[in-house]
Amino acid sequence: MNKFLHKVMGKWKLVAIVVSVLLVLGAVMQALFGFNVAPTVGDVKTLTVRYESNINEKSDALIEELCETKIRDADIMEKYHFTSNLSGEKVHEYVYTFSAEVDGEKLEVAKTALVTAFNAEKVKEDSPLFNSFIYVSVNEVKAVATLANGFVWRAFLALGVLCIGAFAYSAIRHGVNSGIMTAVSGLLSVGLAIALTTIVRIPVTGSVAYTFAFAGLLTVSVVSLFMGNVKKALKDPENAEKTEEDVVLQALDQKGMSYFVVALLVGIVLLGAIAVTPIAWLAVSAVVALVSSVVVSFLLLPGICAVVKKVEKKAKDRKGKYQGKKKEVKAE
Amino acid sequence: MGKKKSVVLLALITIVILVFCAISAIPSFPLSVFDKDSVKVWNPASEQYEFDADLSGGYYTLYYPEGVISSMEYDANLEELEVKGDTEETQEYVSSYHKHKGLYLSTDEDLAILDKVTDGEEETYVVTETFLEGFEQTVKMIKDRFSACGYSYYRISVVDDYAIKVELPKSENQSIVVLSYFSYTGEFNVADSSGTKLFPVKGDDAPSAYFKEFKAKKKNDVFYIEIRTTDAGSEKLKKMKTDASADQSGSATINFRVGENQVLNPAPSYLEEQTDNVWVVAMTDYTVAKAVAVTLNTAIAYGDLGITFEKVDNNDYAIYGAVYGGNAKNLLFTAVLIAVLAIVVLPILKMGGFGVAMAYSTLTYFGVTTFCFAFITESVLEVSAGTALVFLLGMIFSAFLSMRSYEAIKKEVSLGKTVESSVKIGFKKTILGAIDALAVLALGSVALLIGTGGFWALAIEALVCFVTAAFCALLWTRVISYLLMSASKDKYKYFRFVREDDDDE
Repeated sequence: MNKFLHKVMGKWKLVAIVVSVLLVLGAVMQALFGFNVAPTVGDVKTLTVRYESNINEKSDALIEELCETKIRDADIMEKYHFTSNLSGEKVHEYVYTFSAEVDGEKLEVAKTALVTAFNAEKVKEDSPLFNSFIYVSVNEVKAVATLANGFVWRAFLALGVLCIGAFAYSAIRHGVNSGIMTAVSGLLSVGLAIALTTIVRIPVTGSVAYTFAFAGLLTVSVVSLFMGNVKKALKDPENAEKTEEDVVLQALDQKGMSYFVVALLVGIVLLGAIAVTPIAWLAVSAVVALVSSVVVSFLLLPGICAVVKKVEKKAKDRKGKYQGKKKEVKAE
Repeated sequence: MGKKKSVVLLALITIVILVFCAISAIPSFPLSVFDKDSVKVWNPASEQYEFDADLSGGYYTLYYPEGVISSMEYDANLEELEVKGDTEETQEYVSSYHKHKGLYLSTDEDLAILDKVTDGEEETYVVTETFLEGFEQTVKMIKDRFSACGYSYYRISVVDDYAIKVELPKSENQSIVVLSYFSYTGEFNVADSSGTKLFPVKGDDAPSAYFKEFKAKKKNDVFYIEIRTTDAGSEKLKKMKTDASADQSGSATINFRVGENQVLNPAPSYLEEQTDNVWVVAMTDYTVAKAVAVTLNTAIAYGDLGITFEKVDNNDYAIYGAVYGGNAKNLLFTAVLIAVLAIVVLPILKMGGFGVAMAYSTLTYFGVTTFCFAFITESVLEVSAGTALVFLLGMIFSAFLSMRSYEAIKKEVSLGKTVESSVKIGFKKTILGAIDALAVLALGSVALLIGTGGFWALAIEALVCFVTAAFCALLWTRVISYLLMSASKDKYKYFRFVREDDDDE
């Protein structure tokens, strides 16, 4: 791990280029295509079956079986489906949701096939749907609004203030340069998370903003810890002869940070693996946010930090020599 | 601290932590298990949670403009007519509607939805510009109504170009009432109990010249609507109040309406002028007050758009479950519990006695945060998948900081110091770094409060998680470790350290 990080640290400029390219690509794709909006919040087409009779397990199962068969036969694939109850559970709706791009004609074919199938069942005395009232409709649903007023700009403002707050705290505790590195890391990791989510086309809802906040919070806290370690390590007389790169690497607490990142990754994957689809997609976004944070905090920042600390040391040494000269002149 | 005292204190702390965790995590069961006569049910704290739409579903309804019906309603009516057997009536019904995607639009000229167009020999219908424009503006107005209420989640969609579908999560209070109010369209007006319009009448200016704003307010559990008027508006209200008060029946009300729909109808004695041009009406529910205020404000701003929705009653609301299955909540809990279990068990395996102290800390974190999510509300803390993320981050971060302290203690012991002094030095060396990281997390969470809707709720949840993580990492682990160490015979074994003497042997 030490050798790997040492190698990467030496190539921080390459990492910076890769990150920049991803940010630019993400920005371009955002401008052209935006996010890949999840079907629960974007434009969709629906096939709805309304059942206005007393529902039981058999009728429920038969309706679902017929719907799935006829949809499959029409060569179209649903994104998801759900059931809803109206009129105090006297009316049930089965809503099958499709992409907005699905062929409308195929949807009508599925509808016609379903109507025929239900009509056949309604006249069969031994059928669970005998004499029942069932209606089928196909609709186009265009999303008009899904987020609270000002959600997007306030989310960005909040993330910006987060970075400013992190800068202020880090600057007071560890110096202005550390503060700048903390804030910039936070912004970069959020930007990279947004870019990767756009590029990889992860289906998003409004809750994707939570994963961006997760990236920002994780990065600023880890970097703040790291800056404290660097400051302490540079002050340690044992490290006086070491290069800035070695001191920074030592301050990275590789073992602990590795366990931390792995534990987070396992936790997020567990969340995505065991929970339902929208949470699974959120978990994928969260993994992307974690990856962004790791790239910025462990692959990019150490190299930049070493360079900054070198420059700081040179400036300090120059100041020391200058004072020395002044003292000499005074002595004369 | 003496061994006996440590053991007693530890036992008490263990009981408290286990009770906290039990309150949070033990699933519902009937209390008749203990008392045959009991009809009560034990519910964990997590039953108090309000979940977002992804996890618990919500309510939706459709607003159909007058003259627009769904294909299902059309099919049902047609089926009824066909059963009746009246061919003429059936034909009349068929020709009175024109199919448009999944909707049927009325061909009635009075409703001015469709224009008949002759294209050569073919006759067809096109939607009128008036209807199109009115519908577009109405969609905008509905959107403004939902925006103004600050919901963490809502969805407005246009269905087949001429119907509106509106959704709210189950967690929102009074969702059905709100969805009903937001369907009201038409001119803002004020009428008396008999329905006679008092305002605007001939000679009156636009409502905005009289009524500036309706605003929902709350003060110490008292909810009211504040009506800000102009001088002319105040004069109007005074006259209405006087006239209504003179009604001998005693049941007179002043009805603020949108179209024909009553939105706010206080008795004259409940409409009070608080200060100049500021009137108040008491309300029983803040969410309803907000919906009423927003409905009236948008009616004044938009005026009569020429679109009236069919009345939406209680039977027209659909309740839908979590979109991807009813087990969404249970699966999320299961995932979180597995993560908690892992963070409890792994440190014990790796770090021995100190791992046990970390396990206590993790269980405390779990109990406190789940408790806080349930009871720190004003129905604003909606639990979502984002909540699980910040919960995980806080828990794992707390464990990580404790692990740092362990490594620092281990390093001091390897330099030849005693365990006691290594513990002191180890904690001292790591505390500032931990404070830095946790302070930044807490500050970051405060910054996130700027966000709106679900983002704001997430910020509160993040603050709860990180403050609890700070308590656990900076103080609680250390206290428990101290107690366990005091009760332990061999402090090296407690930490799973290898003594240098043991090596020589």
